[in-house]
Amino acid sequence: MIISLNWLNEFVEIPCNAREFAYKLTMGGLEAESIVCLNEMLGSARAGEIKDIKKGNINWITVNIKERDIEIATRLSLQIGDKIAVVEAGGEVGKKKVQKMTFGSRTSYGVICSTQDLGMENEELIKLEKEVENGTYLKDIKEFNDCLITFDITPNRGDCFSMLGIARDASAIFNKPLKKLEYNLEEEEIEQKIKVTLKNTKDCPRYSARLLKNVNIKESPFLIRFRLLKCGIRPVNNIVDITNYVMLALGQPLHAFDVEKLEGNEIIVRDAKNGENIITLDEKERTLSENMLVIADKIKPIAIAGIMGEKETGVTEKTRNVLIESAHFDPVSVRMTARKLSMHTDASHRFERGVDPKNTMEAANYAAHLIQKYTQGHIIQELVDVKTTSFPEKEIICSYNDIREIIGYDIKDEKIRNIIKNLHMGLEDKIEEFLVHIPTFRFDLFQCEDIAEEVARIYGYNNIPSILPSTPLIPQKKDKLATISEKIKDTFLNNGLSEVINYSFVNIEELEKYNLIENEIVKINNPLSLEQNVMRFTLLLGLLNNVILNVSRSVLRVPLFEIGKIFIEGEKGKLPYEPLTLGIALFGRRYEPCWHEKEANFDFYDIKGFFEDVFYLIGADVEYRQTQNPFFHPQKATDVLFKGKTIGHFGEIHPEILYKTRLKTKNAVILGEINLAKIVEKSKKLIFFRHLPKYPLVIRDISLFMDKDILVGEILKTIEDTDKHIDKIYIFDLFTKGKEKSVGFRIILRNDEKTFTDDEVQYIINKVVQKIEEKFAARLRR
Amino acid sequence: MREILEKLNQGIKEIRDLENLKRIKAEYLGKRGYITKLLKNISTLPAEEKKNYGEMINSLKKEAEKIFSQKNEGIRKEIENLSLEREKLDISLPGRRYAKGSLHPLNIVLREIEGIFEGLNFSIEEGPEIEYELYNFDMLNMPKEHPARDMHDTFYIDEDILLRTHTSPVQIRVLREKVPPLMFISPGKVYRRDADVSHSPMFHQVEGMIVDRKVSFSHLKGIMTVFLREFFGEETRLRFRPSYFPFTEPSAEVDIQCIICRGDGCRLCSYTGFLEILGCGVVHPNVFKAAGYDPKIWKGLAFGMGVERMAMLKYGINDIRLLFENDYRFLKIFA
Ligand SMILES: [Zn+2]
Repeated sequence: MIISLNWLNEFVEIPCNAREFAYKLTMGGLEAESIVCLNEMLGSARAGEIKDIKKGNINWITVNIKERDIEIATRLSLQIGDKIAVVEAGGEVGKKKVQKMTFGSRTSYGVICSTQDLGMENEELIKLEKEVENGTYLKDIKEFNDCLITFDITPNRGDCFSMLGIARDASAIFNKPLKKLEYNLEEEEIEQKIKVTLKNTKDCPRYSARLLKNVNIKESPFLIRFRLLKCGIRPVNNIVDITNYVMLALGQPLHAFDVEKLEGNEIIVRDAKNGENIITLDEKERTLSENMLVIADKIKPIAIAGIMGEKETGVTEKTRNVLIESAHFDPVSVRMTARKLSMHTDASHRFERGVDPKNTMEAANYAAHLIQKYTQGHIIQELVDVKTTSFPEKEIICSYNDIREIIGYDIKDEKIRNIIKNLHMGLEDKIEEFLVHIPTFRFDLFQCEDIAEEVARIYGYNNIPSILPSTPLIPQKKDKLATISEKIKDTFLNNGLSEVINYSFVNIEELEKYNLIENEIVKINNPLSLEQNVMRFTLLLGLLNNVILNVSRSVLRVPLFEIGKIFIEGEKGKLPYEPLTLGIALFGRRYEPCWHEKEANFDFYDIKGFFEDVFYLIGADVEYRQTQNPFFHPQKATDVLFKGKTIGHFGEIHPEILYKTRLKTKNAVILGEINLAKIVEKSKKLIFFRHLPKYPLVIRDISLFMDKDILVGEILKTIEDTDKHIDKIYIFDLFTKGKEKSVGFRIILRNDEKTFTDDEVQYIINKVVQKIEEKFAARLRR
Repeated sequence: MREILEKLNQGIKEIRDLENLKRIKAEYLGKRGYITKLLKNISTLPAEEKKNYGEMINSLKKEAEKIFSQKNEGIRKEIENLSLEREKLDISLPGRRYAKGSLHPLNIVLREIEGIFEGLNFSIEEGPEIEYELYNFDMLNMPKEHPARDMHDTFYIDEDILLRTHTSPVQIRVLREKVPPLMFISPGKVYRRDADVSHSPMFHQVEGMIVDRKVSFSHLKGIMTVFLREFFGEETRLRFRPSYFPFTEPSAEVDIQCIICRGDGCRLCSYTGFLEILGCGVVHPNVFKAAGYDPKIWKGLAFGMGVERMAMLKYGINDIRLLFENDYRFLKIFA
């Protein structure tokens, strides 16, 4: 909502400058988003009269600014005699200098000012009144000495979408009385009747209107046009402009019908029929349904109630007689209809938030007065005002103590009473409580808490002290999964992985492209774009895209991880399953360039190491099995099994997938993810204390040759099971030679009872060698 | 005796290494050394001379040992000095650092926020990111026809299942599952259909709640002030101004003094001198009623803030999209 201070001043006295005013209202709950003071923008703009126009590709106009004529080039189409705002070359407007401009052989010696030059929202030519003397500086005209303040009105304050509404809050904040609009209605006794029938009094409890005859449709006077422009509304013609002007002034949306186009001098407010059509003022055909409220004549709907009028019965240049509708519509009804039709208008915006039902007649009268004044129309004496209720005021019972308790500060009774009264509410003191009469323009006050807020905001939030609560201290337990994922993060950070956060939504086509598609995808009904139309059920796509982006930007080393939820569709009508998942992506150089490590690229064993760290941290026992997942390289990747079920996979991505990424790289992309929620839930990290060895540990190295396809993991398990004295086994050497490989095992033996003898050691080692030789057809390397 | 010592000094004068010094020491003090021999001679002397002779030789021995140990120390130092010269490192070469990763800036900020609230005895509660419309709106005093729903442009999964637009539904879940008094925050991802330089369709929020018998708006001011001063610095100026949220009454928006212009007005703060940082309020009685609490007995305070905004302010990031692009070079800045 944009307000003009000049205009607002007609409703309440403004005792300070624009900035202070905006600040005080902001602190009172009406947030001022921006301030534009026109006088700071006017520069050297002056009134000029168009004396001559030479049309062409560019129009050349001659403008008189009193002491001389200047030539200006423009693309606007203007008329001789128009009085416009111009700035001569060398001057400035909108804080910008104006220069001479040459077009071919001719020079333009100035510019024509638009409303945008003055910092207004819409770009529109500034057309001044004919009476303004040529050459007058705009800063000497009253309507240009104005500041515009844009307020961000919260949805509960429907009453603030007008000068009157803002003035009411200002009057409470500054403790100034409201001024009353002064005007006379000159009604005429002419026989002309409009019959109004309300068929749905719940959604339309009141319908007021004024009938005017012999109006003269033309452009509105400068004051009305310019004030509309200030508030961001484009002028149309005097009737439409006046309805908008009254809406901005009083908050009551109005609509003007061309009476001669109505069938049967009759207005019926009724529910629409299913499938009924209407072409609205924006020239769109709309199909209505039963629960929408319409204004109709005898035959057809002529407006969608509170939203927009019909085109056919709207005001045109030929209109002679108009009916000004000023009705009250139910906020919920208007909101639901507007939503269903995807329409949003200045009228619906206000009706949805609540318009004062007691003010309809006042708005209709004010509009009638303005129409009479500016179009020489005749106001018919017979007024229309059909209503089914007198709109009694709501009452709220509250006590001074309740208010003090909610606020937590000892504001005196007297102060509370004054604030409530200044907000134009009636207050009746009872014995221990008081009764507040809520004016009909306030749609947001229901209970004592609401009154407490009213008191607090006018009292000033910053005048209320800050105190720490004394809520009892209760030991707080931290969630196991959250604690572990924080630990994992720390481990990864210390090992060189960086964390990413990817969007939870992904593109289903991309999932298909990379063979990542599965059945139980959660789809978004109304995605923002096709790139984000389903919820992710894997972190792999996001991580793959992170690698692609980084590689395309020539990043040579990409070690990343993500911990986040994935989404798996559940039963119909139930929430999906959202397991916390851990993903890793590795690409390119293992080390940052340095002098102490040989250059090498990330491979399978890097990602395995990271995941092993995680399993160790959680205390999870997992198994590895050659992967079945088509996203991964069949030989250089593994599935991870936990308690017999696959809970993740990692390794190099399939060369076919790499090809589809269009990445120009020979390096492997290494990705992986595991369902963290599942393994954390069923694992427990146990730490047993074991005393340090009392007798010296024995270290023995053995190297064996074997077929290169034998899994070393199997041998490790075999060695472990050979003898209870085997404490640890390391693999210290590994190389391949033809079809064979050599593996070096370092075996640590521990005896807690005594020192080993050489014979005992040899016995164990022999047993190990023998077992491996038998089971894996390996042979000892001498 | 003096002769002996003189000779000894002469003999070791040119010695530069420990090997030779040891050899000469043996010649004098070893089992068959010269001085040892002299001491052995004692047995051949008459009894009355034995005492004198013994004392004399012993002091000679001590003197000799002293000379040797001084010489030994001298040579060792000399050798050490020589090797110190030779074993020179290029101390300017960078050290062997193990690569460190970086936490995502949003999680750095989130950890900081969580840390402050944990210090104030708040617990951390989480909930699903896909929620029932009932929990996300209706039970928070936002029925279907409520205009405040316009502020939450919502992604729908099903007719009444949606991507949560705030973490407030966690509050409903906690209210229903736990026993008051309660103090908790609920951090997490939330979703709104909105995308530009300052809006992301997915973003992070931290909301918090206190439920107790006697809490009021001034306590809310207390908690928020402590938190914001801890986060933005002790000197940070705050202002509380009235606002509107359907689930609180009274409601407030908290602004901090602009961190760029310190209140003079600049582009970041749209020339207001203040930056909007969080919303808060006294829990609306309807929310308590929906969760099965008697609003006459239980009072509540609630607040919420956007983590992206806090992070962007803290690090001076001007485009929210950078946070979700995951350019490794961007991430590494926060290591
Ligand atoms: Zn600033």
